[in-house]
Amino acid sequence: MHRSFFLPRRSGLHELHPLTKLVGVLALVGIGFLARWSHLPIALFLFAVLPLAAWGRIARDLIRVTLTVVLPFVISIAIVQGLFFPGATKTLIDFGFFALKEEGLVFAYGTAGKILLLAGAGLLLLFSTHPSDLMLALVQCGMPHALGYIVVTAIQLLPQLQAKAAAILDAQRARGLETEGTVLVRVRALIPLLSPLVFGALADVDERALALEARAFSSRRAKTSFKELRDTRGQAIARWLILLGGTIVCAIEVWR
Amino acid sequence: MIHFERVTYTYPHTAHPALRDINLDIDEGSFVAVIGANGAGKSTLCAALAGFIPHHFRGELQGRVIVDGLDTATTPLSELVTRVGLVFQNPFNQLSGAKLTLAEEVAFGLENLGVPREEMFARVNAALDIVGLREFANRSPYALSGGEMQRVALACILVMEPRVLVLDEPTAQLDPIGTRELFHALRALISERRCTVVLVEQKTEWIAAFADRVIALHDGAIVLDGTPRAVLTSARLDEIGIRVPRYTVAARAAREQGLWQRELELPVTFEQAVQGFQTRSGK
Repeated sequence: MHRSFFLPRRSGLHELHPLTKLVGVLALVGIGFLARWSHLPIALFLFAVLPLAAWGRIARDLIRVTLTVVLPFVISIAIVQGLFFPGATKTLIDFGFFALKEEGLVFAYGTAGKILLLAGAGLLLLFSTHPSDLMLALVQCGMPHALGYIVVTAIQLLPQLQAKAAAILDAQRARGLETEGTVLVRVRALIPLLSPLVFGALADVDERALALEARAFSSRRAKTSFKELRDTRGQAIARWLILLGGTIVCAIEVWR
Repeated sequence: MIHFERVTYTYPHTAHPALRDINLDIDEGSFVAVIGANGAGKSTLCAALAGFIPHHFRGELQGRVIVDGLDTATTPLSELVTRVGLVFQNPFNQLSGAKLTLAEEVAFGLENLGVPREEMFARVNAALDIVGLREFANRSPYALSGGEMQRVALACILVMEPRVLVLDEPTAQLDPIGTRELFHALRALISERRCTVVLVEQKTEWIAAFADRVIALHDGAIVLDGTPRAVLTSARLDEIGIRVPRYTVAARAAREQGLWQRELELPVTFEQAVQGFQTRSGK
């Protein structure tokens, strides 16, 4: 069972320093989002994210999860924007009450591409980087360690919260709760799921805080690290170049 | 090693003190069990012992708690953790949630304390050895059973090499096998490191077999204090809501039937019960 997004594989992508990957992902997303050319996000996904995923031997998982995340968004955006895009004139299909408009679909395509790129690039980082490596790298370059901790535990604990939700749902089902059927039935089933989940998580917070204190979490001494991150001079230079290049491209797109 | 001097503590927004005038001395290397009904003040005692009162919990504290020569009220919590370790009930909530292998998880406290990396390996391995989980060092801490996870939580505290170990109902969520493994780890700890152990525990049979001394709390005050055999056979146990060991219950019933000699002390362990019954039959 997956306890985090990380997929341990032996690959060059996995070996990269987390910051190198983070900077790369940020540059891809930044450029994809700010670009005027509406095909760019999808082009970046196809010709940058996917080859990198293939190099990291995580392409199959990446495509599967990205599509699972992105498809519901894309479908709803396409419907909403296609039918209700403000000021759209070019009708493609007329349903009588509503009409599918070309401008709306074009806008939906642009947005969908951005979501696809964001999800794909984000998962590329999360799938190939051990969460504690990512935190360590960020803390080492000056991020407050408490913030790093919060980010990483949030990522790590998400699958665990899912498992807990499934257990609660099973328990409620065993007591006769209907969870399948119409939308209304499903929405109603959320209430007995959410309250134990949320209140349970809140109750855990206090014990977690105490347990962290018991392990010197708030110690003011300079922290050390059990894990060591492998970094190379080449990567350090590459990071600055990507950062610089990405910023320049973004700036050009914004001020053009 | 541990010294409580007239300690009274009241939680914020409550009228009645959770600890009342506690005077207590615990020697180095002893294994002390604390028993009591819900709300008797057991967890509060642990929190006071580990310095979480007054550093984490507000409220009103009177008296002094001295652990390993340090006054808990004036020593920062992050210094105290290297002297007093605290293990909680829920093993899952004690893991940092930020580490993917057992060894890294155990090293978390050392990282926070700024222990040099070269020193960590030996300390992590030693802690994992005591709890018997060395071979799992590279596994995910979440892929373990509840009992194993609780031993990880213990190792996470042990790695900081505290001289006093406080455990607040660590076996509450464990099955009998997990409980046995934890008790054996504690015994190893006392014999190998001369740690002082203070254990809050409901399972009186286990206390009887392992502890040197038992303290019973009731309504925030110490009502019984002595050897397991003296405290666990006390007639007051039922009155303060503590389950009597089954060997004691059996011998009491036998005594009413004339099957247990009146002058013989009631047993609290299996061995004592066997011995007592054999004495009667003259073997």
